[in-house]
Amino acid sequence: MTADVALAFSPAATFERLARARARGRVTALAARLLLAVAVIGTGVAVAATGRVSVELVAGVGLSWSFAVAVQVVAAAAVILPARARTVTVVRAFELWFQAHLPWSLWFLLPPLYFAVSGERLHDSVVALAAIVPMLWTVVLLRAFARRVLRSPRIGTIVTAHQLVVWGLTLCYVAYAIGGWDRVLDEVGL
Amino acid sequence: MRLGRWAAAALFATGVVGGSLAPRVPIHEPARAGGYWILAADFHVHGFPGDGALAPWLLRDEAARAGLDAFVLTNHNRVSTARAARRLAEGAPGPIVIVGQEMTARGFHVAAAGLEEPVDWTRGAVAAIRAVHAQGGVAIAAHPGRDYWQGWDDASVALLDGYERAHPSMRAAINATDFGAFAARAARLRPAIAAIGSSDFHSGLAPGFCRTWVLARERSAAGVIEAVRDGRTVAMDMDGRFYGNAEAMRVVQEAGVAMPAAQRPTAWTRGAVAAAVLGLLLLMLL
Repeated sequence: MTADVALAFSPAATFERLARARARGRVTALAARLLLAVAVIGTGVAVAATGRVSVELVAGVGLSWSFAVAVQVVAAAAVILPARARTVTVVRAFELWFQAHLPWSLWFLLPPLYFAVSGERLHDSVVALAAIVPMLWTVVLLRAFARRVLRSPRIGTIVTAHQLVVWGLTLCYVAYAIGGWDRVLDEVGL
Repeated sequence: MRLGRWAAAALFATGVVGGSLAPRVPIHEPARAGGYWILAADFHVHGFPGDGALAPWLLRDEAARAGLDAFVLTNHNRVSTARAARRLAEGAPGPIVIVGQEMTARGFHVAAAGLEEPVDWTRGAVAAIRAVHAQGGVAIAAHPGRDYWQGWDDASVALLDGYERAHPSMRAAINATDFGAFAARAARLRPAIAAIGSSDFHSGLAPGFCRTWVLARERSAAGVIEAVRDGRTVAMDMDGRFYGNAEAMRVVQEAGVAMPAAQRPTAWTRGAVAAAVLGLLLLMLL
Protein backbone atom coordinates (compact mmCIF):
# COMPACT_ATOMS: atom_id res chain seq x y z
CA MET A 1 0.00 0.00 0.00
CA THR A 2 1.40 3.42 -0.94
CA ALA A 3 1.80 6.16 1.63
CA ASP A 4 -1.04 8.11 -0.02
CA VAL A 5 -3.45 5.22 0.53
CA ALA A 6 -2.07 4.41 3.98
CA LEU A 7 -2.57 8.05 4.98
CA ALA A 8 -6.21 7.91 4.00
CA PHE A 9 -7.00 4.79 6.01
CA SER A 10 -4.53 4.99 8.87
CA PRO A 11 -3.69 8.68 9.10
CA ALA A 12 -2.22 8.96 12.59
CA ALA A 13 0.29 6.12 12.30
CA THR A 14 1.23 7.04 8.73
CA PHE A 15 1.74 10.75 9.44
CA GLU A 16 3.89 9.74 12.43
CA ARG A 17 5.98 7.39 10.30
CA LEU A 18 6.42 9.85 7.43
CA ALA A 19 7.33 12.74 9.72
CA ARG A 20 9.98 10.60 11.44
CA ALA A 21 11.33 9.25 8.17
CA ARG A 22 12.23 12.67 6.77
CA ALA A 23 12.07 16.03 8.46
CA ARG A 24 13.27 18.21 5.61
CA GLY A 25 11.05 18.83 2.63
CA ARG A 26 11.87 18.96 -1.05
CA VAL A 27 10.49 21.75 -3.14
CA THR A 28 10.36 19.50 -6.20
CA ALA A 29 8.33 16.89 -4.30
CA LEU A 30 5.92 19.56 -3.11
CA ALA A 31 5.65 20.98 -6.63
CA ALA A 32 4.85 17.48 -7.93
CA ARG A 33 2.11 17.15 -5.27
CA LEU A 34 0.55 20.45 -6.30
CA LEU A 35 0.81 19.54 -9.97
CA LEU A 36 -0.95 16.23 -9.29
CA ALA A 37 -3.75 18.10 -7.54
CA VAL A 38 -4.12 20.44 -10.54
CA ALA A 39 -4.15 17.46 -12.93
CA VAL A 40 -6.85 15.73 -10.86
CA ILE A 41 -9.03 18.84 -10.84
CA GLY A 42 -8.34 19.56 -14.52
CA THR A 43 -9.32 16.03 -15.54
CA GLY A 44 -12.34 15.75 -13.28
CA VAL A 45 -13.85 19.10 -14.22
CA ALA A 46 -13.03 18.73 -17.94
CA VAL A 47 -14.89 15.41 -18.12
CA ALA A 48 -17.80 16.74 -16.06
CA ALA A 49 -18.11 19.76 -18.35
CA THR A 50 -17.51 18.21 -21.77
CA GLY A 51 -17.25 14.42 -21.52
CA ARG A 52 -13.77 14.60 -23.04
CA VAL A 53 -10.10 15.04 -22.16
CA SER A 54 -7.46 16.75 -24.27
CA VAL A 55 -4.24 18.58 -23.57
CA GLU A 56 -5.97 21.92 -24.05
CA LEU A 57 -8.97 20.99 -21.90
CA VAL A 58 -7.09 19.45 -18.97
CA ALA A 59 -4.42 22.17 -18.95
CA GLY A 60 -6.96 24.98 -19.44
CA VAL A 61 -9.41 23.72 -16.83
CA GLY A 62 -6.58 22.82 -14.44
CA LEU A 63 -5.11 26.29 -14.81
CA SER A 64 -8.50 27.97 -14.34
CA TRP A 65 -9.45 25.94 -11.29
CA SER A 66 -5.96 25.94 -9.75
CA PHE A 67 -7.32 28.66 -7.48
CA ALA A 68 -8.92 25.74 -5.57
CA VAL A 69 -5.42 24.41 -4.90
CA ALA A 70 -4.33 27.93 -3.96
CA VAL A 71 -7.16 28.02 -1.40
CA GLN A 72 -5.83 24.77 0.06
CA VAL A 73 -2.31 26.24 0.21
CA VAL A 74 -3.56 29.33 2.06
CA ALA A 75 -5.55 27.20 4.51
CA ALA A 76 -2.58 24.89 5.10
CA ALA A 77 -0.31 27.90 5.62
CA ALA A 78 -2.73 29.25 8.21
CA VAL A 79 -2.17 26.17 10.40
CA ILE A 80 1.37 25.13 9.46
CA LEU A 81 3.21 28.45 9.82
CA PRO A 82 2.13 29.21 13.39
CA ALA A 83 2.83 25.62 14.59
CA ARG A 84 6.06 26.04 16.55
CA ALA A 85 6.23 22.51 17.97
CA ARG A 86 6.38 20.72 14.62
CA THR A 87 9.44 18.54 14.05
CA VAL A 88 9.46 18.91 10.26
CA THR A 89 10.26 21.90 8.06
CA VAL A 90 7.53 24.06 6.59
CA VAL A 91 8.04 22.56 3.12
CA ARG A 92 7.85 19.03 4.53
CA ALA A 93 4.66 19.88 6.41
CA PHE A 94 3.07 21.15 3.18
CA GLU A 95 4.30 18.04 1.37
CA LEU A 96 2.71 15.78 3.99
CA TRP A 97 -0.56 17.71 3.99
CA PHE A 98 -0.86 17.55 0.21
CA GLN A 99 -0.13 13.84 0.39
CA ALA A 100 -3.44 13.46 2.23
CA HIS A 101 -5.45 14.20 -0.89
CA LEU A 102 -7.02 10.80 -1.56
CA PRO A 103 -10.60 11.60 -0.41
CA TRP A 104 -10.97 14.65 -2.65
CA SER A 105 -9.05 13.01 -5.51
CA LEU A 106 -11.47 10.09 -5.48
CA TRP A 107 -14.38 12.52 -5.45
CA PHE A 108 -12.99 14.22 -8.55
CA LEU A 109 -11.97 11.04 -10.41
CA LEU A 110 -14.67 8.45 -9.70
CA PRO A 111 -17.44 10.29 -11.63
CA PRO A 112 -15.31 10.49 -14.82
CA LEU A 113 -14.35 6.85 -14.37
CA TYR A 114 -18.05 5.98 -14.14
CA PHE A 115 -18.60 8.02 -17.32
CA ALA A 116 -15.78 6.20 -19.13
CA VAL A 117 -17.26 2.82 -18.21
CA SER A 118 -20.97 3.56 -18.69
CA GLY A 119 -21.02 6.46 -21.16
CA GLU A 120 -23.42 8.27 -18.81
CA ARG A 121 -22.73 11.17 -16.47
CA LEU A 122 -23.69 10.96 -12.81
CA HIS A 123 -26.35 13.50 -11.91
CA ASP A 124 -24.90 16.73 -10.49
CA SER A 125 -26.90 16.36 -7.30
CA VAL A 126 -25.43 12.89 -6.68
CA VAL A 127 -21.89 14.22 -7.10
CA ALA A 128 -22.63 17.23 -4.91
CA LEU A 129 -24.15 15.05 -2.19
CA ALA A 130 -21.17 12.70 -2.33
CA ALA A 131 -18.89 15.61 -1.38
CA ILE A 132 -19.94 15.09 2.22
CA VAL A 133 -17.62 12.04 2.31
CA PRO A 134 -14.33 13.86 1.50
CA MET A 135 -15.43 16.80 3.66
CA LEU A 136 -15.72 14.61 6.76
CA TRP A 137 -12.78 12.38 5.80
CA THR A 138 -10.54 15.45 5.48
CA VAL A 139 -11.41 16.52 9.01
CA VAL A 140 -10.25 13.11 10.27
CA LEU A 141 -6.99 13.49 8.32
CA LEU A 142 -6.54 17.04 9.56
CA ARG A 143 -6.87 15.96 13.18
CA ALA A 144 -4.15 13.36 12.69
CA PHE A 145 -1.98 15.90 10.85
CA ALA A 146 -2.34 18.43 13.67
CA ARG A 147 -1.41 15.86 16.30
CA ARG A 148 1.38 13.91 14.55
CA VAL A 149 2.99 16.47 12.23
CA LEU A 150 2.27 19.85 13.80
CA ARG A 151 2.55 18.34 17.31
CA SER A 152 -0.14 20.69 18.51
CA PRO A 153 -2.21 20.11 21.64
CA ARG A 154 -4.94 22.39 20.23
CA ILE A 155 -6.41 20.04 17.66
CA GLY A 156 -9.86 21.62 17.71
CA THR A 157 -8.44 25.09 17.09
CA ILE A 158 -6.38 23.93 14.13
CA VAL A 159 -9.28 22.07 12.53
CA THR A 160 -11.58 25.04 13.04
CA ALA A 161 -9.05 27.54 11.65
CA HIS A 162 -8.32 25.38 8.60
CA GLN A 163 -11.95 24.73 7.80
CA LEU A 164 -12.89 28.38 8.32
CA VAL A 165 -10.24 29.46 5.81
CA VAL A 166 -11.18 26.78 3.26
CA TRP A 167 -14.93 27.25 3.43
CA GLY A 168 -14.74 31.00 3.99
CA LEU A 169 -12.75 31.49 0.79
CA THR A 170 -14.94 28.97 -1.03
CA LEU A 171 -18.07 30.82 0.07
CA CYS A 172 -16.56 34.09 -1.19
CA TYR A 173 -16.01 32.53 -4.61
CA VAL A 174 -19.49 31.02 -4.69
CA ALA A 175 -20.98 34.42 -3.80
CA TYR A 176 -18.95 36.02 -6.60
CA ALA A 177 -19.96 33.30 -9.06
CA ILE A 178 -23.69 33.45 -8.42
CA GLY A 179 -23.84 37.23 -8.73
CA GLY A 180 -22.27 38.79 -5.66
CA TRP A 181 -23.15 39.32 -2.02
CA ASP A 182 -25.94 41.69 -3.12
CA ARG A 183 -27.69 38.73 -4.68
CA VAL A 184 -27.07 36.51 -1.66
CA LEU A 185 -28.68 39.13 0.57
CA ASP A 186 -31.51 39.61 -1.95
CA GLU A 187 -32.23 35.87 -1.99
CA VAL A 188 -32.51 35.76 1.80
CA GLY A 189 -34.77 38.83 1.75
CA LEU A 190 -32.33 41.42 3.18
CA MET B 1 7.37 1.31 -7.43
CA ARG B 2 9.14 4.16 -9.20
CA LEU B 3 8.69 2.36 -12.53
CA GLY B 4 5.00 1.89 -11.73
CA ARG B 5 4.56 5.60 -11.11
CA TRP B 6 6.25 6.45 -14.39
CA ALA B 7 3.98 3.97 -16.14
CA ALA B 8 0.94 5.57 -14.46
CA ALA B 9 2.08 9.04 -15.53
CA ALA B 10 2.58 7.72 -19.07
CA LEU B 11 -0.95 6.25 -19.03
CA PHE B 12 -2.36 9.62 -17.95
CA ALA B 13 -0.39 11.42 -20.68
CA THR B 14 -1.53 8.85 -23.26
CA GLY B 15 -5.15 9.47 -22.35
CA VAL B 16 -4.86 13.24 -22.52
CA VAL B 17 -2.86 13.27 -25.75
CA GLY B 18 -5.11 10.57 -27.20
CA GLY B 19 -8.15 12.71 -26.42
CA SER B 20 -6.50 15.59 -28.31
CA LEU B 21 -6.19 13.39 -31.38
CA ALA B 22 -9.95 12.82 -31.66
CA PRO B 23 -11.29 14.34 -34.90
CA ARG B 24 -11.98 18.08 -34.62
CA VAL B 25 -15.37 19.39 -35.57
CA PRO B 26 -15.20 21.74 -38.57
CA ILE B 27 -16.43 25.28 -37.97
CA HIS B 28 -20.12 25.51 -38.80
CA GLU B 29 -21.08 27.42 -41.97
CA PRO B 30 -24.51 28.96 -41.57
CA ALA B 31 -27.21 28.57 -44.19
CA ARG B 32 -28.91 31.44 -46.03
CA ALA B 33 -32.62 31.69 -46.65
CA GLY B 34 -35.12 34.46 -47.31
CA GLY B 35 -32.29 36.97 -47.62
CA TYR B 36 -31.01 36.24 -44.10
CA TRP B 37 -28.13 34.41 -42.52
CA ILE B 38 -29.66 31.63 -40.43
CA LEU B 39 -27.36 31.70 -37.43
CA ALA B 40 -27.40 29.13 -34.64
CA ALA B 41 -27.12 31.03 -31.36
CA ASP B 42 -27.22 30.34 -27.66
CA PHE B 43 -28.25 33.38 -25.60
CA HIS B 44 -27.57 32.00 -22.14
CA VAL B 45 -24.16 30.48 -21.36
CA HIS B 46 -22.10 30.66 -18.16
CA GLY B 47 -18.31 30.63 -18.01
CA PHE B 48 -15.36 30.70 -15.64
CA PRO B 49 -14.65 32.81 -13.62
CA GLY B 50 -18.24 32.52 -12.54
CA ASP B 51 -20.39 29.46 -11.96
CA GLY B 52 -19.60 27.97 -15.36
CA ALA B 53 -16.89 25.31 -15.55
CA LEU B 54 -15.06 26.46 -18.66
CA ALA B 55 -12.80 29.43 -19.25
CA PRO B 56 -13.77 31.66 -22.20
CA TRP B 57 -11.40 30.17 -24.76
CA LEU B 58 -12.56 26.62 -23.94
CA LEU B 59 -16.18 27.70 -24.00
CA ARG B 60 -15.83 29.05 -27.54
CA ASP B 61 -14.32 25.75 -28.62
CA GLU B 62 -17.28 23.88 -27.09
CA ALA B 63 -19.70 26.26 -28.81
CA ALA B 64 -17.98 25.57 -32.14
CA ARG B 65 -18.22 21.81 -31.51
CA ALA B 66 -21.93 22.24 -30.88
CA GLY B 67 -22.36 23.93 -34.28
CA LEU B 68 -23.12 27.38 -32.88
CA ASP B 69 -22.43 30.54 -34.87
CA ALA B 70 -22.83 32.85 -31.89
CA PHE B 71 -23.27 32.69 -28.14
CA VAL B 72 -23.90 35.18 -25.37
CA LEU B 73 -21.83 34.78 -22.23
CA THR B 74 -24.22 35.67 -19.42
CA ASN B 75 -22.59 35.32 -16.04
CA HIS B 76 -24.64 36.31 -13.02
CA ASN B 77 -24.76 40.06 -12.51
CA ARG B 78 -21.41 40.79 -14.16
CA VAL B 79 -19.90 41.15 -17.61
CA SER B 80 -16.14 40.87 -16.94
CA THR B 81 -15.79 37.25 -18.08
CA ALA B 82 -17.84 37.95 -21.19
CA ARG B 83 -15.73 40.95 -22.12
CA ALA B 84 -12.58 38.85 -21.68
CA ALA B 85 -14.13 36.16 -23.89
CA ARG B 86 -14.90 38.67 -26.61
CA ARG B 87 -11.36 40.07 -26.48
CA LEU B 88 -9.85 36.57 -26.72
CA ALA B 89 -12.05 35.78 -29.71
CA GLU B 90 -11.05 38.84 -31.73
CA GLY B 91 -9.60 37.87 -35.08
CA ALA B 92 -9.83 34.12 -34.48
CA PRO B 93 -12.23 31.94 -36.49
CA GLY B 94 -15.15 30.55 -34.55
CA PRO B 95 -18.49 31.57 -33.06
CA ILE B 96 -19.30 35.24 -32.45
CA VAL B 97 -18.97 36.06 -28.75
CA ILE B 98 -21.56 38.54 -27.45
CA VAL B 99 -21.19 40.21 -24.08
CA GLY B 100 -24.12 39.58 -21.79
CA GLN B 101 -25.23 39.30 -18.21
CA GLU B 102 -27.81 37.19 -16.44
CA MET B 103 -29.49 39.75 -14.26
CA THR B 104 -30.27 37.54 -11.32
CA ALA B 105 -32.78 38.79 -8.78
CA ARG B 106 -35.15 36.96 -6.48
CA GLY B 107 -38.24 37.53 -8.61
CA PHE B 108 -36.83 37.47 -12.13
CA HIS B 109 -33.86 36.42 -14.21
CA VAL B 110 -33.05 38.26 -17.44
CA ALA B 111 -30.46 37.15 -19.98
CA ALA B 112 -29.24 40.44 -21.43
CA ALA B 113 -27.21 40.47 -24.64
CA GLY B 114 -25.21 43.24 -26.29
CA LEU B 115 -23.88 44.98 -23.18
CA GLU B 116 -20.68 46.84 -22.45
CA GLU B 117 -21.15 47.55 -18.76
CA PRO B 118 -22.89 45.59 -15.99
CA VAL B 119 -26.52 46.46 -15.42
CA ASP B 120 -27.96 47.24 -11.99
CA TRP B 121 -30.52 44.52 -11.33
CA THR B 122 -31.57 45.66 -7.86
CA ARG B 123 -34.29 48.15 -8.85
CA GLY B 124 -36.76 45.76 -10.45
CA ALA B 125 -37.27 44.28 -13.91
CA VAL B 126 -38.54 47.46 -15.62
CA ALA B 127 -35.52 49.53 -14.58
CA ALA B 128 -33.14 46.69 -15.46
CA ILE B 129 -34.61 46.22 -18.95
CA ARG B 130 -34.52 49.98 -19.60
CA ALA B 131 -30.85 49.98 -18.58
CA VAL B 132 -30.17 47.16 -21.05
CA HIS B 133 -31.92 49.09 -23.82
CA ALA B 134 -29.93 52.22 -22.95
CA GLN B 135 -26.78 50.27 -23.81
CA GLY B 136 -28.24 49.06 -27.10
CA GLY B 137 -28.78 45.55 -25.79
CA VAL B 138 -31.74 43.21 -25.70
CA ALA B 139 -33.44 41.70 -22.65
CA ILE B 140 -34.67 38.10 -22.60
CA ALA B 141 -36.73 36.58 -19.77
CA ALA B 142 -34.69 33.61 -18.60
CA HIS B 143 -36.38 30.27 -17.80
CA PRO B 144 -39.70 31.99 -17.02
CA GLY B 145 -41.23 29.29 -14.88
CA ARG B 146 -43.53 30.05 -11.95
CA ASP B 147 -40.62 30.40 -9.53
CA TYR B 148 -39.73 33.62 -11.37
CA TRP B 149 -43.19 35.00 -12.12
CA GLN B 150 -43.40 37.29 -9.08
CA GLY B 151 -41.00 39.80 -10.68
CA TRP B 152 -42.82 39.89 -14.01
CA ASP B 153 -45.63 42.42 -13.97
CA ASP B 154 -47.29 43.36 -17.26
CA ALA B 155 -45.19 46.53 -17.64
CA SER B 156 -41.93 44.59 -17.54
CA VAL B 157 -43.14 41.82 -19.86
CA ALA B 158 -44.20 44.48 -22.38
CA LEU B 159 -40.64 45.83 -22.42
CA LEU B 160 -38.98 42.48 -23.09
CA ASP B 161 -37.28 41.75 -26.43
CA GLY B 162 -37.43 37.98 -25.99
CA TYR B 163 -38.18 35.13 -23.61
CA GLU B 164 -36.77 31.65 -23.28
CA ARG B 165 -39.32 29.37 -24.90
CA ALA B 166 -36.89 26.43 -25.03
CA HIS B 167 -34.65 25.64 -22.06
CA PRO B 168 -33.30 22.31 -20.71
CA SER B 169 -35.50 22.63 -17.60
CA MET B 170 -38.59 22.11 -19.77
CA ARG B 171 -37.87 18.37 -19.52
CA ALA B 172 -39.93 18.77 -16.35
CA ALA B 173 -43.56 18.92 -17.47
CA ILE B 174 -44.42 21.72 -15.06
CA ASN B 175 -41.76 23.98 -16.61
CA ALA B 176 -42.90 23.15 -20.13
CA THR B 177 -46.42 24.16 -19.11
CA ASP B 178 -45.18 27.34 -17.41
CA PHE B 179 -43.08 28.39 -20.41
CA GLY B 180 -46.14 27.92 -22.61
CA ALA B 181 -48.23 30.08 -20.27
CA PHE B 182 -45.54 32.78 -20.24
CA ALA B 183 -45.38 32.61 -24.05
CA ALA B 184 -49.12 33.31 -24.33
CA ARG B 185 -48.88 36.22 -21.92
CA ALA B 186 -45.79 37.65 -23.66
CA ALA B 187 -47.42 37.39 -27.09
CA ARG B 188 -50.44 39.31 -25.78
CA LEU B 189 -48.38 42.10 -24.22
CA ARG B 190 -45.63 42.30 -26.82
CA PRO B 191 -46.74 40.64 -30.07
CA ALA B 192 -43.33 40.87 -31.83
CA ILE B 193 -41.41 39.30 -28.95
CA ALA B 194 -38.61 36.92 -29.94
CA ALA B 195 -38.80 33.24 -29.02
CA ILE B 196 -35.42 32.16 -27.69
CA GLY B 197 -33.88 28.75 -27.11
CA SER B 198 -30.99 28.62 -24.63
CA SER B 199 -28.90 25.97 -22.94
CA ASP B 200 -28.12 27.85 -19.69
CA PHE B 201 -24.84 25.95 -19.96
CA HIS B 202 -22.77 25.71 -16.80
CA SER B 203 -21.29 22.22 -17.17
CA GLY B 204 -22.41 18.90 -18.61
CA LEU B 205 -25.05 19.48 -21.27
CA ALA B 206 -23.45 21.17 -24.27
CA PRO B 207 -23.90 24.81 -25.26
CA GLY B 208 -26.66 24.90 -27.85
CA PHE B 209 -28.50 21.97 -26.21
CA CYS B 210 -31.52 24.18 -26.78
CA ARG B 211 -30.77 26.94 -29.31
CA THR B 212 -32.10 29.85 -31.28
CA TRP B 213 -32.14 30.21 -35.06
CA VAL B 214 -31.54 33.87 -35.73
CA LEU B 215 -32.51 35.44 -39.03
CA ALA B 216 -29.70 37.98 -39.24
CA ARG B 217 -29.03 40.53 -41.94
CA GLU B 218 -25.33 40.35 -41.17
CA ARG B 219 -23.03 37.82 -39.50
CA SER B 220 -22.07 39.93 -36.52
CA ALA B 221 -23.02 40.59 -32.92
CA ALA B 222 -24.95 43.65 -34.07
CA GLY B 223 -26.80 41.55 -36.64
CA VAL B 224 -27.82 39.03 -33.97
CA ILE B 225 -28.99 41.74 -31.55
CA GLU B 226 -30.98 43.50 -34.27
CA ALA B 227 -32.72 40.26 -35.22
CA VAL B 228 -33.79 39.63 -31.64
CA ARG B 229 -35.07 43.19 -31.30
CA ASP B 230 -37.16 42.67 -34.44
CA GLY B 231 -38.41 39.23 -33.34
CA ARG B 232 -36.71 37.36 -36.22
CA THR B 233 -35.90 34.23 -34.26
CA VAL B 234 -37.03 30.65 -33.88
CA ALA B 235 -36.41 28.72 -30.66
CA MET B 236 -35.55 25.04 -30.87
CA ASP B 237 -35.72 22.66 -27.94
CA MET B 238 -33.56 19.60 -27.31
CA ASP B 239 -35.96 17.40 -29.28
CA GLY B 240 -35.78 19.64 -32.35
CA ARG B 241 -39.22 21.26 -31.92
CA PHE B 242 -39.56 24.82 -33.20
CA TYR B 243 -41.24 27.75 -31.44
CA GLY B 244 -41.74 31.26 -32.81
CA ASN B 245 -43.72 33.28 -35.30
CA ALA B 246 -44.98 31.52 -38.41
CA GLU B 247 -43.00 33.57 -40.92
CA ALA B 248 -39.66 33.08 -39.15
CA MET B 249 -40.36 29.34 -38.81
CA ARG B 250 -41.13 29.11 -42.52
CA VAL B 251 -37.75 30.68 -43.40
CA VAL B 252 -35.87 28.47 -40.94
CA GLN B 253 -37.56 25.35 -42.28
CA GLU B 254 -36.77 26.49 -45.82
CA ALA B 255 -33.10 26.67 -44.77
CA GLY B 256 -33.34 23.03 -43.71
CA VAL B 257 -31.71 23.54 -40.33
CA ALA B 258 -31.77 20.83 -37.72
CA MET B 259 -30.36 20.05 -34.32
CA PRO B 260 -26.96 18.40 -34.83
CA ALA B 261 -26.99 14.71 -34.01
CA ALA B 262 -26.45 14.23 -30.28
CA GLN B 263 -22.75 13.83 -29.72
CA ARG B 264 -22.68 10.53 -27.92
CA PRO B 265 -19.26 9.80 -26.45
CA THR B 266 -17.30 7.64 -28.84
CA ALA B 267 -15.23 4.63 -27.83
CA TRP B 268 -12.16 6.74 -28.55
CA THR B 269 -13.15 9.62 -26.24
CA ARG B 270 -14.26 7.23 -23.50
CA GLY B 271 -11.02 5.29 -23.83
CA ALA B 272 -9.03 8.51 -23.54
CA VAL B 273 -10.97 9.50 -20.40
CA ALA B 274 -10.46 6.03 -18.91
CA ALA B 275 -6.70 6.12 -19.56
CA ALA B 276 -6.31 9.61 -18.07
CA VAL B 277 -8.35 8.79 -14.96
CA LEU B 278 -6.76 5.38 -14.40
CA GLY B 279 -3.32 6.95 -14.84
CA LEU B 280 -4.07 9.46 -12.08
CA LEU B 281 -5.56 6.81 -9.79
CA LEU B 282 -2.55 4.54 -10.31
CA LEU B 283 -0.23 7.45 -9.50
CA MET B 284 -1.77 7.35 -6.02
CA LEU B 285 -1.87 3.58 -5.70
CA LEU B 286 1.59 2.63 -7.00
